[in-house]
Amino acid sequence: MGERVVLGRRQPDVWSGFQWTGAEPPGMFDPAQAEALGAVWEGDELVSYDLAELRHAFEHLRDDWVPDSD
Amino acid sequence: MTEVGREVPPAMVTKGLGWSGRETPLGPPPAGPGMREDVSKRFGRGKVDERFADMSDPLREIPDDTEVDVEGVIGESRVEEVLAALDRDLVALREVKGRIREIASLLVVDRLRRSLSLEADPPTLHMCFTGNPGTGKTTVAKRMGEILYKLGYVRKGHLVAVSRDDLVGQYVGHTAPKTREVIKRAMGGVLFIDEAYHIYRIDNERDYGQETVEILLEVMENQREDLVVIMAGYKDRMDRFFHDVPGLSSRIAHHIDFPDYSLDELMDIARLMAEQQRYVFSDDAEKAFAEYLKHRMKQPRFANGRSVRNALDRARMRQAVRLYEAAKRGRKLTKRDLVTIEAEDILASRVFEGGFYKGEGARSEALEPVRT
Repeated sequence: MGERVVLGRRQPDVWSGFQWTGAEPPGMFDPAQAEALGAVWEGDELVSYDLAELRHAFEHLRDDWVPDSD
Repeated sequence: MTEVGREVPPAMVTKGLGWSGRETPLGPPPAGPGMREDVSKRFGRGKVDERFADMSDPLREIPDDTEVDVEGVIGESRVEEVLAALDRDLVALREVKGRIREIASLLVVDRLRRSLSLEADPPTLHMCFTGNPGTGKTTVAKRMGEILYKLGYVRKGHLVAVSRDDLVGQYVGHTAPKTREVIKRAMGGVLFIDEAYHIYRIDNERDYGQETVEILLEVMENQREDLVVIMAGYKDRMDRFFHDVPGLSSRIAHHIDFPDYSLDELMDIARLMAEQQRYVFSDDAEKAFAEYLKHRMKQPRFANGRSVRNALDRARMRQAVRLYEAAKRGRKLTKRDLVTIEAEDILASRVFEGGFYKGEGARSEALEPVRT
């Protein structure tokens, strides 16, 4: 398991409800995207243990890359 | 197109996302109107006092004299910190600062209301900044993302600054994906549209800008909690733009005018800019710079703070040449020399008749002025 990186935090007492820390890949907006790419919730923190892989996967998504269905 | 607040690889700026505005790259949209998920469901309803958490009608059920923890909420929020930084970093701009104080106050009150389970929708914060060049519109927009992030209004707080060319395509079918790509990049932050009236050319029926306007209107209405749109430009042209595009003005909650700066305010800006660059004006240089501004303000294309910055940049160059020439002549340089802008660095400007100022403090014996 790699280094623990906090991508964002639940902030239930503010309007946005959630805020990114700046460690997330540029362009990532929806926490569900991070979850789908391997990030996990630990309490109120959305964390990644493999940020490089998460960034790589997100950049593929930005390039309209689609995994083979077979 | 520029983005402030975080680094974006160039490839990400131009490559498409296939985003339709109604779905994320990973599938269907989250729950809630438009693309926005219902954060109150997903992330909880806030720090509600346990006594009131299960009330169906807190407006009527909670006693009117129930007290709330004002000091605690102000302490937890970063409102005071944000407002102090604003006062410190921005010269004048009272109306802008006033609006931000209003937003900050609303945040605090909203948190207090949430503690009593008295939730309300976030306010619309789309804005229109009008004013002449150099009056601080872009600077404030850049700060706005950061401020709204600190106040908890947006998720990311970055700023994406665009103009017509970034939004409007050149052929059929080009505009919508181009506009949506920009909007997607700005989600969670601030979309700053400079000279917004250029988007739509009402006199040209074939202009694709209308498509951009329609998409913007939809996003400003349906996704206003995810994105703050700031439109900027000259006041008269913005007024005409709002007249030509029904429904746009009413979606913008804050119309803020940026007045021209006074001489004293421009001097304050000059001192602040110099300090940020780790320079100081000598006493004579201060007088010379004020004199420079008096002349420059009467000339064409004066651009307020931007003209101050340009003048300061040129003064730094003249100072550098002056010091370099002095060093070549064998003069030892000190830290004071390196940080001090002298009167001759300013008075050599062509803004003064003849380039060289003849009055007091015009030039020193040791360091010859060099005109650039």
